[in-house]
Amino acid sequence: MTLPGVALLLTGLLFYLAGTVGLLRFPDVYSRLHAITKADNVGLGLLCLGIALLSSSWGIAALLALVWLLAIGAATVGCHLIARHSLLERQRGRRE
Amino acid sequence: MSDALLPLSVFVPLLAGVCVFLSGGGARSPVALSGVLLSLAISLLLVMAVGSQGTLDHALAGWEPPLGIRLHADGLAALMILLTAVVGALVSLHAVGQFAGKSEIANRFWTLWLLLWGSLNALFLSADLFNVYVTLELVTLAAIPLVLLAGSRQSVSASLNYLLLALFGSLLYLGGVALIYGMTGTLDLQLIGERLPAGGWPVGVATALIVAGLLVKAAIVPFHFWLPPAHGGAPAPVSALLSALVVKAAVYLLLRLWAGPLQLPLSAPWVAQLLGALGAAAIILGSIQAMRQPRLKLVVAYSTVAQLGYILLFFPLAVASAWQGAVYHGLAHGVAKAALFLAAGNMLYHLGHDRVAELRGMGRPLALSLGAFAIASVSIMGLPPSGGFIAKWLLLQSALEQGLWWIVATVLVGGLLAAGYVFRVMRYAFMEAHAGPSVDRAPTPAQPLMVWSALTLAVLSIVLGFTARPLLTLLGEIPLGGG
Amino acid sequence: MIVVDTLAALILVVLAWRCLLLTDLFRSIVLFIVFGLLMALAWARLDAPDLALAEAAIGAGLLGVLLLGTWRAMGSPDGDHRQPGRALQVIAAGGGMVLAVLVGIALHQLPVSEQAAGALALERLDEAATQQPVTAVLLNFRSYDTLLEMGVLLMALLGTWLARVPLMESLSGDDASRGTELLPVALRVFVPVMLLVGAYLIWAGTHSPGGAFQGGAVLAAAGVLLALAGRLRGDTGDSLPLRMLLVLGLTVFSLAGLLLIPLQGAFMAYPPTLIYPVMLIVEYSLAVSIAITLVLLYTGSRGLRRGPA
Repeated sequence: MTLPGVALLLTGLLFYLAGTVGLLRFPDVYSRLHAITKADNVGLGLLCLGIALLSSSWGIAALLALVWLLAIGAATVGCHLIARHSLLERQRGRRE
Repeated sequence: MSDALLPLSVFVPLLAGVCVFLSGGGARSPVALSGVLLSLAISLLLVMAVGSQGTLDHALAGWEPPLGIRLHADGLAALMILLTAVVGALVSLHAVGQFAGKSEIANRFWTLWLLLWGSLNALFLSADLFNVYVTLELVTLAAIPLVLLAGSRQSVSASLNYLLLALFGSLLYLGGVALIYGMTGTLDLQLIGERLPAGGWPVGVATALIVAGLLVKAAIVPFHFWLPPAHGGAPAPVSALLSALVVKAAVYLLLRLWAGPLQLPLSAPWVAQLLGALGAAAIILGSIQAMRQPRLKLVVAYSTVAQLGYILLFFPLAVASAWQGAVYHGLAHGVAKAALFLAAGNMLYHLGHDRVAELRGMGRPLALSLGAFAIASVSIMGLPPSGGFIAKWLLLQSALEQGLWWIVATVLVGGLLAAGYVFRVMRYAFMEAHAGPSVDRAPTPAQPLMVWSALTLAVLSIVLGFTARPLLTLLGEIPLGGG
Repeated sequence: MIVVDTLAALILVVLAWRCLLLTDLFRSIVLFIVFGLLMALAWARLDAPDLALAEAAIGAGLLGVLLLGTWRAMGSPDGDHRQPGRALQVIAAGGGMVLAVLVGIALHQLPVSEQAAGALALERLDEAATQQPVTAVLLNFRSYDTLLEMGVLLMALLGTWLARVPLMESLSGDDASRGTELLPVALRVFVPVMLLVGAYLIWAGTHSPGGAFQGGAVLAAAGVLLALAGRLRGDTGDSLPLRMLLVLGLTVFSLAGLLLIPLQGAFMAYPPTLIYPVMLIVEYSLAVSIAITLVLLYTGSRGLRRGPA
C-alpha cells in the first residue's frame, strides 16, 4: 500500500501548488476563490486518501474522511461568503 | 491548622470579589462591606498567627516542593499583609463616599479591589518562582482596569501604556524563571537557593532578566514614565491603592529574592551599587519632577517615583538595620501616600480641578483634608516623629556605619527635595483668598467618610513613628535562605 | 527532518519580522494568524500536542478573530495607525537582538539540572489519578496556578468592559451573512459538531491531550461563529445567570479546594477516591467559564442575546 499512498500524497501536493499559484497570480477575488477552493478540496482529499492508505487502518480512514468532509463544508461556506461580500461591496460602490 | 490561614487569606478576598460581582451591588453594598471586613479579619488573624508562632508553611494540594507549590508566611510577608489590610480597609471607607450614587462604577471598583486584595496576599505568601509570575499578572490585571474606572480617554491611553510595559516586564521575568528552572529543576524559592550554581553566565542573565522585569513593574527610574499618568489619572481610592500597595509588591519581590534564591548574584558589589544608584536616581529625578507638576495628583504620583527609590538603597548597604529601614520605609510610605492621594482626591472632588497654582483659599472649606495632607507630608519628608523618619534614620545609620557617604547625601537631599514639593503645595493652599478657591463647577463638599479616612491614614503615618519596636520584632531577622 | 525544522524556524522568524514591520494593519494580522498556525506545528514537532492544540485554537484562532474584529471596529483602519519613530525602531530592534544573543549564550552554556521537578512528576503520575502529565500538573500538582489564572481571565474581561465605555463604537454586522440560504444550513451542521468536539476535548483532557482551555476555546469558537452569523448578539446589560457562568470555574475550583481542607489537611488536596470526579467537574466548569469569557471578549459586550434567525 506504500506506493499508491505516496503517489496520492504527491498528487495532492501538486494540487496545493497549483491552487497557491492561482491564488497569487489570478487577477480578482472570484478567480482566486475558484483556484483555491477547487485545488484545496481535491488536494486535501488526495492527501487524506494517501494517509489512509499508508496507515492501513479503517478507524483512521474514517476519521480522515470526516476531516475532509468538514473541511469541504467550511471551505464552501467561506468561499460563498467571501464572494457575496465582494459582490455586495461592488454593487454598493456602483450606487455611490 | 493555623497554616490553613494562608490559603484562606488569599481566597476570602478573592471569593468576596466574586460575590460582589454576582450581587451587582453599589457603593454601600452590604456584600462588599462584609467582604472587606472578612478580608481584614482573616489578614489580621494571619498576622497574629505569624506573630505568635513564627513562620508558617502550607504545601498546596498536599504536594511538597519541588512537585507542588508552597505558601510561606514570615515576618516580611506578614507586615506587607498588615499594610494591605490597614490601608485597604481605610481606602474602602473612602470609596464608599467617592463612588456614592454611581452604582455601576462602584460595583466594578469593589469587584476589582477585592480581587486585587486576594492577589496581593497571594503574591506576598508565594514561595514559588513561577507562582510569583502568576500573582504578578493577577496584581497587574486587577490594577489596570481600576485605572480605567476614571472613564476618560486619557485613562484608556494611560492604562494601555501601563499594560504594555507591565507585559514587557512579565516577559523578561518569565524568561529568567525558565533559565533558573533549567539550571535547578525546581521553582521553589528555598530549593533554588540550595541548588543554584554560584556563578556563571546563565545565572547572570537569569538574574538580570528577573530584576529588569521587576524594575519595570516597580516603576524604578528609568522605567518610571508609565506611573504618573496612570496613578495621577485614576480615581482617588484607586491611586491610593496603586501607589501604596501595587508598586510596592514588585519591590517586595526584589527584597524577597535577595533574601532567598538570588542572594549571591544580587550581592555582587557592582550589582548592589547599580541597584542603589538607580534608587538614588529615582529619589532625585522623581522629586525634581514632583516640584514641577502643575496638578496636585501628579505631584503625589511623582513623589511615589521618588519614594520607591529609598527601598533600593538597601542593596548596597545589605545589613540588618538597612533591611529594617527599607521594609519600614515600605510601610510608612504606603500609609502616608494613601493619605496624600485621598486628601488630594477630596480637593479634586470639591473643586473639580487640582491645579496647584489655583488652590489658594482652600484652607477654609477643606481644612481637614488639607490637614491630612500636611500631616502625611511630615512622614514623606522624613521628619520626626513619623514612620518615614524611623525608616530614613535606620537607612542613614547603616550608611554612616559603612561610610557610604553618597547614600547619606542622597537621603538628606531627598528629604530636602520632598520638603520642596510639599511646601510648594502648602504655599498656595494656605494663602487666603477673599472669594474662596477657584472652582471648575459648583463645589461639592467631600463626604465625612472621605475626609475622616484620609485623616486617619495621615495620623497613622505619624503613629508609625512610635510603633517601630513591635513591628520590627514581627519582621525579625533577614530571612536568609528563603525561609 | 532537520532541514524541515530549520526551514520552519526560519519562516517563523521571517513571519514575525514582517508582521512587525508591515504598515498595513490587516496584512499584519493575517501574518500573525499564519505565525500562530506555524507555531502550533512547531509545538507538535516538539512533542507538545497540548501546547499545539492551545496555540492553534487560542493563539491563531481566537486571537486572530479578536484582532480582525478590532481592526473592523476601528473603521478607517490605517488612519489612526502611527509608525513609531526611526530611533525607537532601531532601539527596539537592537535591544531585542542583544537580548536574544545574551539568552542564546546562556541557553548554550546552561548547566541542566539532573533532578528536574518535571521528571519527578512523571514518576509519580499514578498518585495524581491521571495518565496525562499536562493535566496532572495543571489540575493537581500545580492546580493553584491554574486557579489563579482563572482570576486573570475574569479581570481581563472586566478591563475590556471598562475600556469599552470611553471607546464606544458600534460593531456593525456584515451584510454578506444576511439573506443567504447557505449559512443557516452550515450553522445547523457545524455548531453541534463544534459543541461535541469541545465537550469531547474537555473530557479527553483527563487522559490524553486536551482539557479545559482547549475545549473551552472550541466551545467559544462555536459562539463566535453564531455571533458572526448574527444569531448571537451582544447585549448592553449583563444578567445574573451569565455572571454566574463567568465565575463558575473560579468558584467551583476554589470551593472544592477550601471545603475539602478538613479531609486532607491542605488546600486543593483531594481524597484519592474523589480525585477523578472532582477533576472532571472542575474541568467542565473551567471550560464553560473560559468559553463564555472568550465569546464576550469577542462581542465586547456585557451580555448576550439571541439574534433574529
